[in-house]
Parts: sequence; structure tokens; C-alpha cells
Amino acid sequence: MKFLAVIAGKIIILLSRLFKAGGGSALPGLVALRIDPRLIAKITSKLKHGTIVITGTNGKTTTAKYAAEILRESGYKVVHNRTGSNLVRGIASALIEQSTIFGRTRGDIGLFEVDEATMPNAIPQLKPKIVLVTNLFRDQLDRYGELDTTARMIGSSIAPLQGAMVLLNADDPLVAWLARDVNERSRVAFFGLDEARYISTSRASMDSKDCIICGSELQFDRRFYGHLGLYSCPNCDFKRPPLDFEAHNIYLHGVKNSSVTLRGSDKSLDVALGLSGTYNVYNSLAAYALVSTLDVDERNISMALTNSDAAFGRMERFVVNGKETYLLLIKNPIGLTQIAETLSTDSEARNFMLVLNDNFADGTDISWIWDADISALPRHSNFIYTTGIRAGDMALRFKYEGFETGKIVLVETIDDAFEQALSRTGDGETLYVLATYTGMLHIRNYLTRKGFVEGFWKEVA
Amino acid sequence: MSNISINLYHLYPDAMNLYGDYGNVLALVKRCEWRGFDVVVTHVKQGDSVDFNAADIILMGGGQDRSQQVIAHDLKQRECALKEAIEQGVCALTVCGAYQLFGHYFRTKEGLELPGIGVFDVHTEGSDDRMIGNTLIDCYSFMTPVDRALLFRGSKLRKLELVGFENHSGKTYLQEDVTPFGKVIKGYGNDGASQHEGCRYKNAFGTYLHGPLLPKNPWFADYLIVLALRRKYGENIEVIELDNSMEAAAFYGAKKRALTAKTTHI
Repeated sequence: MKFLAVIAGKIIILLSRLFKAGGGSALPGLVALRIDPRLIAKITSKLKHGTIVITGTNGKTTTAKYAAEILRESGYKVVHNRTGSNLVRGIASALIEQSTIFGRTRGDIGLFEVDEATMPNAIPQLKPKIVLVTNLFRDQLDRYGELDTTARMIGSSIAPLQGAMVLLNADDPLVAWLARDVNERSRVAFFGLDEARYISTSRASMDSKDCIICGSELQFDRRFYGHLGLYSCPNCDFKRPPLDFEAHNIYLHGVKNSSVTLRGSDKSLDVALGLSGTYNVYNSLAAYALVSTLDVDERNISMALTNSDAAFGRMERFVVNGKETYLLLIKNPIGLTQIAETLSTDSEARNFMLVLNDNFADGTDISWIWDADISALPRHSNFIYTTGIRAGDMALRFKYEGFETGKIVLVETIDDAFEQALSRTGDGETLYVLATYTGMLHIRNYLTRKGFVEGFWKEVA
Repeated sequence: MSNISINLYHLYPDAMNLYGDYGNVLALVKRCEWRGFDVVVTHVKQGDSVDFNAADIILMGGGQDRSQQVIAHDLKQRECALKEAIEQGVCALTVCGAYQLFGHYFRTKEGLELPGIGVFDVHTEGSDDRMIGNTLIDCYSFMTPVDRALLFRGSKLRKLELVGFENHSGKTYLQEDVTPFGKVIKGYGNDGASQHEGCRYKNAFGTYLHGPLLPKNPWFADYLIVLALRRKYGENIEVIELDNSMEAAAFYGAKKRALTAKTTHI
């Protein structure tokens, strides 16, 4: 069964590349799991150093990418679902791709980002040694139900784990609260920020502002972004737990890079990050915490955090017709708010395009765009193109935020919108493309077709 | 025109804002401002003391289950004041969780009863069905001749279609003499069976449509504004038309999505 499933998967991977039908990151796994539903457990049980699981709303892909590079530099053979395909089928596809045709894995450690709703299904098969939860923000409510439900889903999936290390973001009240679900035979460690600068003032995305125990409104001494911060309940003893891993001395240098000091129990490390934004500080801290229980060299940590560029489509830079283009993934209110705030630090940023699709992978309910705080985006922009299946909704979001309607250009076809936006981007200027997941894939496929970028499966291979 | 003013009361902006409900506030504010009216938004939080007699339009959205329980208690303290305001013809738009709490009660699957304030003669029962998707409704058949005259001004249109997105597992049942908000063309509506969506009592509306509702249904947003102005300034008040081309693009985009979706009725 396993053999047949792996062969079928491998044939589909081959075919989809042959016909350039996409990266083959979901279908091979889907078919293989039909043939052998226990395929994931069968392959991962052979990994010498076990598996690591990263879940949560934001930062999964970047954290996993950081950790993968650190581990690889340290000599581990990492099996990793790199393209951000984080449902069970994506995990299976990655395993098939990185196995021999007999289904024998080529790796010795598994590193998987797992969709929050997929946790109950994936955890019993992956039996991870380490689980990390990044944060819980509102995301694609139509698919998952509400935030509390998501937390319960993660909690019940990690509850049976024995001998595991569970790493939780202390700054997120709902994530910190998951500690109660951890079995006494497993361990919990908390990570968070120790920083008095870069305090967020936006009221957007305060998703978990009430005490989980008594319902009172939590008091925040400081907020780092969204509802992540230093909180305590005025009514009961719920508060941010003490930190085992922390980031301090944070300096953000525009959108290009930043620096931070990461601290573990008895050591600390100064790193220059190749990425910027408070959310990437969290991602680097999470990766630091993840590898700390494994056998890695500090130099490999610094090197990976400095040299990593953004994960697939998260914040990629392309040069198209001599013009610089950044592709930024948007998928929920807090992500869009953070991107708007990061862009606002660059006075040169003035050419924007937004792609809003509402396919299943984007989340079919697009009302979240109204929960994002886009007011930080520069008003002196040259233009704002809106495109995609729900281009009209995105155009309205800007209109009702008070952006000049003359600057908002609604173009239904994504290719047309991109070509127009690019042609209106001046020499030496940058075009910022903010896109939901399938919109991002569309743009990337377009760039591949036009020969500006190699297909992502080539990078993965 | 600058002496015209509108008071918006946004109930529980922090706790009950699950589905972009802020967009409804923004739509009313901007559409008043573009016409030169003064708009004052009052954010009503738990425990705040407020006078609903000063309100022209009251807005309240949906929340997570946990927030909803806390809010239900606070809302109960305001039952008399809110009912009196609605009786006086104050406009209200209640969406999803707010719609449920403006009914008599919400009974969860587990049998837990969350008391509402009974502005609407409806009640809601929790279910195992999750009713999710783009929704298209027609409000025309439930409008009075006065409303129709107000909205259509002699046009031959025989529909008032609204688009939105619904996401609820509660099924809301209307007492026999309650007027629904609209007829379901595509989607689930109140209970997935009756083909009715939302309800209306006087100038108060309850609906499951978020998305948010008002930005891409500007005709209905303007209707709320006109209802509020007529109550405050008399029957002869008129508002100027605005350029709705971008709103129309969003409306038709959402309508197309609703019509082509493979939603099956439960």
C-alpha cells in the first residue's frame, strides 16, 4: 500500500512539473493518502530525530524556514513542507517528494508547518517531539469557526503528547493559556518580547483582549502588535507567564532589515536579521527557541537568520523589466495591518497593487479586510490598483478609508492589473503587490510564464 | 445642509466586531460626510451609561461565543431604553450575534439559554449545521408601499437585492406576524429552510448578512440614512445621489460569487 501510494504521488509530481501545472504541492499527497491513509505515520516514524510541528495563525512558514536552515547548516537532513502547503495533503506531498520510490525517507528529522484546523488530524500521525504555537489571530473564520474553537482544537491535539517539548508564545493570552492542556509528562517553555520600544497603538486586531478565566478585560502594560503584549488580568491571577526565551534590543531599519538580541536560559545571541517588522522578530525568536533543544552551533543560527530571505511569497523581491517588485502575502487583518505599518516607514513606497481572491485557500469570507487598519499606508501614493475576484470589495475598503478615489484603479484581470501597475511604476521606483494566497500564486505563475522567475518547484528541489 | 446631523451609536465596538462590522459604521459615516452632514459616533461599551433617545441609528455586530455571553448580560440592563428607542422609530441595524440577542433568546445545542432583549419577536436555536457562504436576498416583497416609493422613486425595478456573507449555526425562527428582512435567493437565511432572511420591526433590522453589509449595498445604507433623517427632520427631507460605481462593482462581484457557489440547502 505504501509503495503504491508513494509511486502514485511521485508520478503526479512528475506530471505536474512536466506540464507546468503548478508545484505539485497538494495533489500528490491527496491521491497518495487515498491509497494509504497511514502513509504519513509510516514514513515519519522512520525519522531518526523525530518531527517538529509549527502551528498558529501567522509566522509558521518563516519560522519553519529559519529553523530548517539552521538545522541543515548543523548537519541535519531535514524533511520539510516548504511551499506553505500545510494541510495533511501538503505534508504527505512533501514526504513523498523527499522519499525514495520505496517510501524510505531521505531525511533524519521532520519539520512541518501545520494548519491550525489540521492539528487534530496531523498530530496523532506525526507524533512530534517539539510543538511550537506562534500566535492566534483571526484568520479565515469561515473555514475554522472562531478563535476559541481554534485554540481548543490545538489544545486537545497536544494534550495526549508524552515526552514532548511544547513552546508557546507567552505574549499571546490564548496561546499561553494552552499550557494547561499539556500533559505532565511533557514540558512547556514560553517565548516572548522584552522590549519597551515599538509599542503598537493601533486598536485593530485586538482579538484576545478578555481574560480567558474570568472574562474581564485584560490590562496591557505594553502591546507589541495586535493583542500580543505584556498583559495581566485586573480581576484574577492570569497574566503573561515568565519567559524562557526572549527577544530584546530590537532595532527595525525600515522595511529592509533589523537587529535583535535573542536570549535563552544561560546564553544570548546578537543577530542582524535579513527581514524587518515586529512579526519577523517573533519568527526569529521562535526559530531560536525551536533549535535550542537540538544540537546546533550558534554561528549557524546567526548565519541563517541573517541570510534567510522571506519565505515563499511572504515578502519576495523580483526585478521585472528593470523595475523592483515586492510580493507580499496578505491573509488576515493583523498581517495586513503590520504590512501597512512596515510600509509606512519607507517614504519612497508609493506604488501599490492589491489582489483579493476568495477561493478556499484564501478564505471565502473577505470581510476581514475591514478589520485591518490600513490607515498607515501612505496617502501620497501614485496609485492603488485593486484586482482579483473581489477587486470591488478591496476598492471600497480604500474608498471608505478616505483614499482619493481617483487613485484607486479597479481592474478585474490580475495580469492586466499587474501590467498596467508596472508600466505606471517609474524607473528606480518599487511596485508593492499585496496579494491573498491564490492571488500570490497567480502573480508568481505569471512571472514564471514571462520568464522573470523560475518555478518554485525548482527552488524546492 | 451643514446643520443636518446624525448620531450613530455603535454598541460594543470591541467585543462585537467579528466580521468587519466596523465597515458598516464607516459606510454610514462616509456617506453622511460626503453629503455634508455632521456625524457623531458614540461607542457604547460594557457598563457605559448612555441615552438612546439621542440616537438616530444604532449599530451592533456579532461576536465570539465567549464575548456574546458577557455582552448579553450588559445588553439586558439596557432592554427598556433600547425598546423605547425602537418604538420611537430610531433606526437599528443588528447583524448576526446582535440580531440573535435582539430576539427573545438564543438556546445553544447544549441547552444553555442566553437571554435576549426581545426587540424582535424571534428566537434562535443552536444547531449542528454551519450555514456559511455568500448570500443574495431580495428585500422588495417585504417592503411597505411607502418604503418602495422612497427607494425606487418611480423606477420600474421590482427587486431590492442585497449581497452579504453569512456564517452561523444558530437557526432563527420568526413568530408568525414578524416581517422578514428579505427573501433568500441564494444562501441559507434565518434557518436554512424557510427561505426567509433576517427580520424587521419598525425601523430596526436584524440580519445574518455581514461582509460587511452596507458598503457594497449602498442603496440600503442610504435607505437607513433617509429613514433616520425623516424621523428627525420631517418627511420632505431629500438626500443627493452619490457616485456608486465602485460600490456597484463590489455588489456585482459578490452577487456573481453567490450565484455560482455550490451551496446546498440543509
